[in-house]
Amino acid sequence: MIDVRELQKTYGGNLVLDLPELKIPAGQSFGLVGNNGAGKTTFFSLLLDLVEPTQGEITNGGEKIQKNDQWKAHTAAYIDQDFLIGYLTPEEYFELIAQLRQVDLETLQSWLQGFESFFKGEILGRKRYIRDLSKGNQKKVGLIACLIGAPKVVVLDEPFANLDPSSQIQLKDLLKNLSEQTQTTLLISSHDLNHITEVCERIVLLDHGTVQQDLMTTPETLKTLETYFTSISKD
Amino acid sequence: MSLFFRLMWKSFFRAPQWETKLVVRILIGFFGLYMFVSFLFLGVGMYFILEEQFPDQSPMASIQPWLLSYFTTEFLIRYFLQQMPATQLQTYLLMPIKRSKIIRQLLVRSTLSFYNSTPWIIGIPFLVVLSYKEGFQWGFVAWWIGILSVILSLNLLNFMVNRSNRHFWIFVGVAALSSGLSYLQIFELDAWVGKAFERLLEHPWEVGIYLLVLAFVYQSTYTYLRGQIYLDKGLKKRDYMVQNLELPFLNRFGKLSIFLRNDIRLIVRNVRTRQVSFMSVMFLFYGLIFGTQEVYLEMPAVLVFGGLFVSGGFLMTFGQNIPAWDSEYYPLLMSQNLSYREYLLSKWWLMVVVTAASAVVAFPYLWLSTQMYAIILAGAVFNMGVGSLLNLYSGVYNQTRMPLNVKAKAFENTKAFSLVQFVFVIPKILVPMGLFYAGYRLISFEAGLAVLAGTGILGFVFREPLLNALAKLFMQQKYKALAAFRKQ
Repeated sequence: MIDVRELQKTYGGNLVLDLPELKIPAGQSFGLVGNNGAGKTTFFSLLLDLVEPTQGEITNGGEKIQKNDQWKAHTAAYIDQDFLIGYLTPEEYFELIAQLRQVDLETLQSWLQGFESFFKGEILGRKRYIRDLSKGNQKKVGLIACLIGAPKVVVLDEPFANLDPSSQIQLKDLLKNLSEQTQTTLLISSHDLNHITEVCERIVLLDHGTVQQDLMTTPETLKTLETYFTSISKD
Repeated sequence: MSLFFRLMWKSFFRAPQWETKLVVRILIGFFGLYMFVSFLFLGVGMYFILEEQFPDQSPMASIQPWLLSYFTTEFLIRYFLQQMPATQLQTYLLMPIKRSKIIRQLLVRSTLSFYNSTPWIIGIPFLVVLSYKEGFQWGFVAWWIGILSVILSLNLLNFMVNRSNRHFWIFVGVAALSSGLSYLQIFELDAWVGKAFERLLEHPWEVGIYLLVLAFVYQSTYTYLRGQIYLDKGLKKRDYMVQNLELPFLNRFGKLSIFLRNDIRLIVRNVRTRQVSFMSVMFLFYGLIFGTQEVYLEMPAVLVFGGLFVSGGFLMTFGQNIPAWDSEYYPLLMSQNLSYREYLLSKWWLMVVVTAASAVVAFPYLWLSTQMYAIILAGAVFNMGVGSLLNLYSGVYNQTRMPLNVKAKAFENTKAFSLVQFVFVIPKILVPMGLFYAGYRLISFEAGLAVLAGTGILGFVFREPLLNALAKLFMQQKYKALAAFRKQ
């Protein structure tokens, strides 16, 4: 589904990302881990064509992402608050996204009802603007909006951050179901090694912009990752 | 105290506008100087203006009935534009500084605002000229102190009024009622206020009442803020009542309605955009400056200058910040499957509709002079056809993140100002003036209007190819804009 070739990004002469080759097959749940500055968000921004690569290219669904916009029809992302429109209510925001993705509003309404327990009654029908919601609830709005219209590729940066413990558990189940039942290609990054090894079939560990490990998840993966991060913190 | 002033100093010199280029800094400096000098000239010239306009009264007597209108207008401007410094309070709460001191400092600091400067730069020169012409009286000083007290009281009251929309609407209601009663000559509040100030000239000691009022307002504002300076009270982020804006009539625009609806919500629900709307209403009156002067009526090209602003206030203030209005969520827009052309077309419609509406609302200019209104209409056609596209074009180069729900500081809007924007004044203003002048000089006044409006119609004719070219340009600028709009 996603195919990265000879991708490099430099900022002011510093190489911040260097991916000679990375293939993510359709339907895979792909996890990205690494310390701050490892290049996770840079990679996602390149993938969404929000940042221009210094070298190389990415294809999404067979199309070069810089060449045309067709991939946008089947790709959705939530990176940070800049993906929310603060002066809309959650309902209005969902409707806007649905309209942009050609989902009719009735389908949207009934689909949204499936998330009632995740929203805990704090999001729909509250007559509040998104900018006045708590960080956790803002995140929920962004995450769920991402799934409107069943996109084939979903990109989430730090989806667990800012969520309370029970919401984290619900989100984990939601993401697991998504990749098992709908063949969605899921790309997520996280600082929480526990969650990401539970959700993802494959984990890629980035450090200073390069791939250090590329693992298919097994019961030992968490241990391997913990050992790695312990060792680099001692250097 | 010195700590606060040191911090103030730093926040002033480390403000983003200082990081702009030197040329821009100098231009902003010149603009500030220009405002200062114009106010100063107004102060010096006021005596002579009043003498000429009201020959049967002394200038000092003729100014009194206008004071109430002045205070009201000033308060409105204050309400929409003056930024309350309260936002920086939170940092100090945990420091070993007394709360009372924090508040007193806040109140004192607010009096240094640009919005309190008129008594100093207009009032004092006026009184100097007055004393020179009519001889000095202690009454003048009392009168001036009286005015200063009212202005400072309004400055303090703004702390309370600014916190709720209800206070504001009460104020608007009272102002509307009193001007209505005054117009019908039932109860003339403005005359009463004028008389009260006139008394000060004869009985200077009465200024004590004004000072007492100021002291009272200071104390109540202090008490009010003292009770508010907790995280769960005044410093809490306010939840606003959601305005229901479904706007079903937009559905007839098809796919475009998605963007139009969002743009209207953008304008109605954010402080910064409401400020722009307020400015565009003010621009409706801009033509009065030109339309009321005999001198300018002889120079219709100058009237074109005023006329372009009457219909184009919104076009120019809103238009030049496209796409910066959407900067807070630009990455979202750029990763959605949307067409840039439709995005721009929606903004285009918005500008065209508001410009047309402004031109219609400006019909009272007909009473001033038919010529003036004809110029406003022709200018509106130019603005709609050509100005709308020009503003979209200049907006591409205006890449500064625009925080939507924060008031701009005085002159902060100039931060987004670049040399390019300055250059764009030529096609937006000078070219239409020139076009009119050419027709007017070579053939007739009517021909001038026809040339001006005709150029506007050309803009409509070539809208499609120009809009497509603009969409292409926006695409090319995408990465630069995304980088510039990122939160720092």
